[in-house]
Amino acid sequence: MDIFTSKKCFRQQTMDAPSSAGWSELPVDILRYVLELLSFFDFHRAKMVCLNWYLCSKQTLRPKFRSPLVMLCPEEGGCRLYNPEEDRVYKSDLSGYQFLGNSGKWFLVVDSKSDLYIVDVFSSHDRILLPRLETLKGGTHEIQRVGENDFKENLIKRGTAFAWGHHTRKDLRGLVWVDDKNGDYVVVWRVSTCHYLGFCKKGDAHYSEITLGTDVVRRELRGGDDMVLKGYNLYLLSSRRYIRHLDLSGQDGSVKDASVYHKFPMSIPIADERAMNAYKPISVGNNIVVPTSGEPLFLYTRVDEPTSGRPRFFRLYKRDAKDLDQGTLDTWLVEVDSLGDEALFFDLGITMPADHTLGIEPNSIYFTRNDRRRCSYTKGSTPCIDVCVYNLATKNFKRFTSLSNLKINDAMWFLPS
Amino acid sequence: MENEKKMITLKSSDDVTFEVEEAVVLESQFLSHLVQDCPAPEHKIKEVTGKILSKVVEYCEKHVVVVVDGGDSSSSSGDDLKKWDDKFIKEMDLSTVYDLIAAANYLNIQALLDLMCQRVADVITACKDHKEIRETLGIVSDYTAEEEAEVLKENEWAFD
Repeated sequence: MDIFTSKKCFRQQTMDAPSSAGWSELPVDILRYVLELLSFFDFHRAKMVCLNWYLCSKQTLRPKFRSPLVMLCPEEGGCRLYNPEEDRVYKSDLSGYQFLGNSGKWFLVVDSKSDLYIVDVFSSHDRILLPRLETLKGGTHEIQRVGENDFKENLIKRGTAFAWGHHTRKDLRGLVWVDDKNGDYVVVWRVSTCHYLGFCKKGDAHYSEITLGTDVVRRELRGGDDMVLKGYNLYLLSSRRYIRHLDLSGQDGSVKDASVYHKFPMSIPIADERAMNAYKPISVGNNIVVPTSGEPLFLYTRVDEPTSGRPRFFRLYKRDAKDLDQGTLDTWLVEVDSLGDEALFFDLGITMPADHTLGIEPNSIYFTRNDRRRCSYTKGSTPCIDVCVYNLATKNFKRFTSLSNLKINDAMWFLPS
Repeated sequence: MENEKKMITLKSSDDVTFEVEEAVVLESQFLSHLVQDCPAPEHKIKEVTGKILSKVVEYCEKHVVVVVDGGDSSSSSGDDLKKWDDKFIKEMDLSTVYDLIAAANYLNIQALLDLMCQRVADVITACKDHKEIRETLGIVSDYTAEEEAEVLKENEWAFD
């Protein structure tokens, strides 16, 4: 960067007023240089100082800040943003929300009245109200609200509603994807471990139902043990451990099945399974991860009871290439040792190209908790929140000092692109 | 060996003179051009006061010495220099920093400019909010109430 281009005007200025008259009048190039030295948050504070600085901040050729941050919900309420780069916790004015999912700076949240919104994490005024849950249509379920926090779920069969389940706001799980270019979005939610999903896109006044149950023709694709949304592509992990891939880009709530046909489920090799089960687990996650290219991966994570002396572990698997071969009669998952130059964001269920200059660690797993996208079957089990970055090569965990003193109810990694 | 150590005299706007080695002057791109183009023994720098020029000279002298000594580029000299830089900026009030930025910019001394800009960035970082930044740097906000509210809205999350 050439910071001398404004020298002429600066010279003029210093000759006229050689004392420190004008921090607000610093030449644009010098000010821009100073602003570029600031951290993301200080940069935004500095632009509040005066109009000149604000205008200058708009011209700053700052690389887009993409280093991962953590959204935190402390026990005492409210919301915090944690920036690992600075090991610093910031206050956020997003309060009273439960966070379901995120896409860049956009968070899918539910408020105390069980209304769903998409909010800009940096500006809570910027929010999109989504249809109410009870607008769900096009399937065999209807949702009825009972008070603000509770829902009744009815199964409709031959025109009659049968009371099916009873859920609260806490049982909601959701995913969101926002297209930064045009503001289009898609939202997917489910309640507890129910056999259907609701989804809507920008402009929809209601949610359309996606069944996970017996209406799915291919038996092996039924169920939803995990779900990942990447653009308009929804990936579901079936109960039998197949991947169901749905394309939601169609019009009027239409859903296209784009699943790859596999003869066999994704099974962890027996030897691995035995080794894993040596101790009693406290928390186990069977998840899918959609890489930047190629078929979804399978990620197993687990924490054993403290007496095991074994830390949290992750095992990443992919399908064996021979699976698609007609002659294959038996198959197991193959372990993946390395993500190469990519980082895996567990909360999002995807991998991204890492970049050291952006503060994204390659070959790492950004983790918070493993029941983000699916309620735990075990009632009353507390979520194991563990904000960490796991490096697949060194097998080291990076945890964060400022977070160790905070009691948190929830945490979520995000990339504020 | 016509010039064992060629000396050059710099004169500030308020006529304070500094006699320095040529190598010191070469730290400034502006001055090295000036010295080359006009081989007079004395150069008047109208844009910089004696107080500020003395700081500039102090900085350049320190940095020249290290570059010459550190022919083997031992790391300790680098560390020492950094310590010296830290002390140099820490003892400086903000009005001197401002004038030094102007002088470094004018004389085209990149390293000094970097150092001073870093100091400003550190000052901003140490402030808890934009009001404190204003107070520290003596900036009067020229936002209208509406504008300020608007920018604040854009920014609310960034405040502890």
